[in-house]
Amino acid sequence: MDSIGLSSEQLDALQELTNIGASHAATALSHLLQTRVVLNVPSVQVVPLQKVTSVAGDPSSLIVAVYLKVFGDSPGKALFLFDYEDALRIAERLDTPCGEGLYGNEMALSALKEVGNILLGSFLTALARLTKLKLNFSVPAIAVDMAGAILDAVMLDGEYLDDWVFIDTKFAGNQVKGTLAFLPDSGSLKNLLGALGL
Amino acid sequence: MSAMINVGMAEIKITKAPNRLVTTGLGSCIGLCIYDPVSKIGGMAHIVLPQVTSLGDGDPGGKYAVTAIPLLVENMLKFGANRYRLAAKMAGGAEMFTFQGQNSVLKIGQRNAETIRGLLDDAGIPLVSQEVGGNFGRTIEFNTENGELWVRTINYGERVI
Repeated sequence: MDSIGLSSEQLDALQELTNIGASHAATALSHLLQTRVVLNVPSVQVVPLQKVTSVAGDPSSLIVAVYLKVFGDSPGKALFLFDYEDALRIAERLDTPCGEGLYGNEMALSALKEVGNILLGSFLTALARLTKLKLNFSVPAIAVDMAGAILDAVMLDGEYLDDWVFIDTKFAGNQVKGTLAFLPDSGSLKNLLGALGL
Repeated sequence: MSAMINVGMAEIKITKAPNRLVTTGLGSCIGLCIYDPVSKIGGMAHIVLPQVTSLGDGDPGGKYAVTAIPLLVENMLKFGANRYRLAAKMAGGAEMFTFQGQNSVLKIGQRNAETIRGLLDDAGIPLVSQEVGGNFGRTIEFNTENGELWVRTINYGERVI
């Protein structure tokens, strides 16, 4: 973690904070889908711009991404990523049938956007409460496309950094999985850690 | 034997026939290909931003349109291409997400495309075809054997430009 100069203590605190935030999101998902949801231990990594498009796996893979911009004391970007097939299953479970797939299916896209919004909202609200920082966020946007194209566009929306801190937690439930990710802007991480007294 | 050469974000790669230059999953970024049809030398820059936004960073050469185009041309000439035969093609520059009320200043894909067009014009390199804009990602493959740029999308079909 040398390139962003985090001590192991700070890294632990960041993982723990993310874990608590993500647990709130997992509870929300569990209620929405009426299923048990398990979480992986969060990972914190520094990703150079050149590697950003493959941070969530194969850049050519088809994914669904819900994206919120975060403003306030710890600005950044929050993403919820689903594999396409998982997104279809989630939409089906929310009574929005996807016989023809997701393209042009406004009902299903809107349902998925709301799922992402609820999960990311629970995560960010928990983060704000734990750190006593003020966090606001945009309305959600959704995209169904190649993972590389989605991540490239997210990285170019707003501040341009050469290295991104990518904090992510994987979710898995009954035949559904997803990844919650938070990418703090420069300076944001310092505020987040500062609020934890580190 | 034709090799597939991957051009990562912000990179520039030059090769010659029969090799192919490939970029997977272009969003707002632009894959700019410049080609000399006689020597069959082709180059691709995976351009991220129009203008230089920070100095002394890890730019592998192709990050900014303003610096990537001269470097791409210079490297192609060193490789043996002829300045007066060069022609360009480009793809990418999409807006993957739309937020309500978003200002056009933020439309980075469109700004990338406009800046590249202006720079090619200034350099006297004709832009012979392009496949830019929209709200979808593109995977591109440039064939140095015939100068064809193959553009593949997930839901908007495939085109050769």
